[in-house]
Amino acid sequence: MLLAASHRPHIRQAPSVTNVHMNIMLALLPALVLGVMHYGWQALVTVATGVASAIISEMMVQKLFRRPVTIHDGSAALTGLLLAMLLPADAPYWLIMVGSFCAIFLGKQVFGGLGNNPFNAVLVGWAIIRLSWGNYLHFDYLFQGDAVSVLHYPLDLLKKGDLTAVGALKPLDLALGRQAGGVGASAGLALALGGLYLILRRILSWHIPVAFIAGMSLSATVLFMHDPTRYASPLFHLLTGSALMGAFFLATDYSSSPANPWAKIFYGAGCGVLVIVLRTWSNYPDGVAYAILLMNILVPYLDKIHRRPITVSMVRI
Amino acid sequence: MGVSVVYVLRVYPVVLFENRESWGMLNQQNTTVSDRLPADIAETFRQHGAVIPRDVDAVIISALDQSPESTIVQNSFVKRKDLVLAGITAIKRMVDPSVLIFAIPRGLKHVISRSDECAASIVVLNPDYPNGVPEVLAKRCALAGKKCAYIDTNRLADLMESFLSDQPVSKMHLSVGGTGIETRIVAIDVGSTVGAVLSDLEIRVEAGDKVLLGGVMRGESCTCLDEIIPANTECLFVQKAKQVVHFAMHSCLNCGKCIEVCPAQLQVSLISKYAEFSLFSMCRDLTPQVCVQCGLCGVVCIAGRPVSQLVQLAVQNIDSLADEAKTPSCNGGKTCPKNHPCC
Repeated sequence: MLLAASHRPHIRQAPSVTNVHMNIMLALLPALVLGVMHYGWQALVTVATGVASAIISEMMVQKLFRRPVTIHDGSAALTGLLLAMLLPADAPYWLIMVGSFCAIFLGKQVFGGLGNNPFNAVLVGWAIIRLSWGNYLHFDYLFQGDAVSVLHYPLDLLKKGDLTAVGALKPLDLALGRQAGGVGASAGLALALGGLYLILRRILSWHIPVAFIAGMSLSATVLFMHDPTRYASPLFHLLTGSALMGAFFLATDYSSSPANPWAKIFYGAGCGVLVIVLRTWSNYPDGVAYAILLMNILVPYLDKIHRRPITVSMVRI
Repeated sequence: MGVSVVYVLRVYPVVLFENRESWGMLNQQNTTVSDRLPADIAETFRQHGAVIPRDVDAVIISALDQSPESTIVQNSFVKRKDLVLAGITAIKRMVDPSVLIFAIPRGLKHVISRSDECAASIVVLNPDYPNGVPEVLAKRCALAGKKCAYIDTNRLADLMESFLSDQPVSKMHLSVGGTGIETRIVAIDVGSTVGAVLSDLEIRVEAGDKVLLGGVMRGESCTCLDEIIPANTECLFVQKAKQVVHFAMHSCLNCGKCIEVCPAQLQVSLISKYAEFSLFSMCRDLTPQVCVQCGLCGVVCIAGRPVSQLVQLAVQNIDSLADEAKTPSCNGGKTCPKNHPCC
């Protein structure tokens, strides 16, 4: 009779790759729902385009490279979803498709597939479309109802130096997504709750989000206390742009972030500080994507910050 | 899913029922060893293959089970307490180490009463896996970096029983269980085969099942039911074919869970990636040889990689590289074909 035989361990207690990605998409759902409620059906079409083009791109690229097709593990869908959630609701379809394709092909598959990407795939795709067709990524939102009114992108207002308009924005409005921004990146509170869900289910560790938010808050506070008429408050910075999306969903991508806890803290804090630096002194209104991409370069060095192995010399009686 | 490892690997130190055989032959007899010669005690130990350690800094006697589903060591402690305490005294007289520790699981703190004389200092610990693994136990008792010796209460009680009754150990106690099978503690004759024990207990083994000698975390698979159960086996576990885990060589996701859970604090994911691509020379600085083989890295891997196996692959191949360097053909490095900077 043939028995199964293998080396230890003989049990497994971990979620599968598919399970992890499904949970992350579940955590993004509240923010997406709030985004669709705010921006209308077009937002849902944007997201659907993003997800579909990402899945199709991955299938095409893997078939082209003669690798096993792995769209069932949900990572392509997640990449497409995250990319679409960073874009405005009225982004042109071709832009979303090109972005998804670049994210999958240049951000992930070219490095060897899931787990091998040194940069966050979503942000690679985003950076390509931002640099090439930046004029299509305008977040100002036109309300066409009884009266036509324009909701301006808060970080554009900050870049122009319009601090009175910035101060007029209520934090609760910003937190619940009543602002101009990405489809899913606007609803800060929903994103934070989703992130908290992932931390409680141990899919994410708390180090990166906490360090990211702490890094941002600390650097924004330093500037705000120095001159409140030129710099915005930390709460404003946290609730606008893709800050909370970056803290919980973008910086925390497994492959492009460090594996050791202290390295994660330095990485998160570095991202947070860089976000404020880029928002204040660069040409771009929002620095989240570039901050994370820059810190991704440092990840192999940061991973050298780790505990020393413990040696025990033991003999059995 | 996403369940904390410690939760399910928790060992509940509730003493289980006993069945069939009685515990030990010496329940009421004299267990004093203070008037016996240490050399005599050492001789009995040696006859049973127990190595008496010389020049160790610490000796740990453990009442914690190494495997999460077994309770044999804890049961031995509770049922044969007098023999265990006598054994501790015996070890103190034979070895006389500078540190003598008796590790007890938290739920069994009450077993040692004030009237009991224990020659060791008692340390109460959380029994969850991997605290029962000897190297991890030493770390928990703050003995990392020191030379330690380990014995568990089951083995110690067997040896003391043999010494005091002047009979060789002929019976061993095992924790037998399986998927959907209640764990039982049984006494079997030394030299019984796996198949005989299982059929005696009416446990069916079908094709594709896994029979484990030594627990679900650290056990070895049995390849034939006619195998004789080795002397130090503590538990026998029959895992049904449906529960058998399969690993796959997926890329490492770099999530860091293996590093979080490793009791030896190794850079597990990095070692596994180097071993996967046979870059063993790059593993050396990461010291994979301090791996205690607890298997937790493979348990928590999201990608389902055979992480524990990859680390052992690294350990084995690092050794072989060292051996290769010591062959006489390298002529002190002068004619080394691989240009090793070793000699």
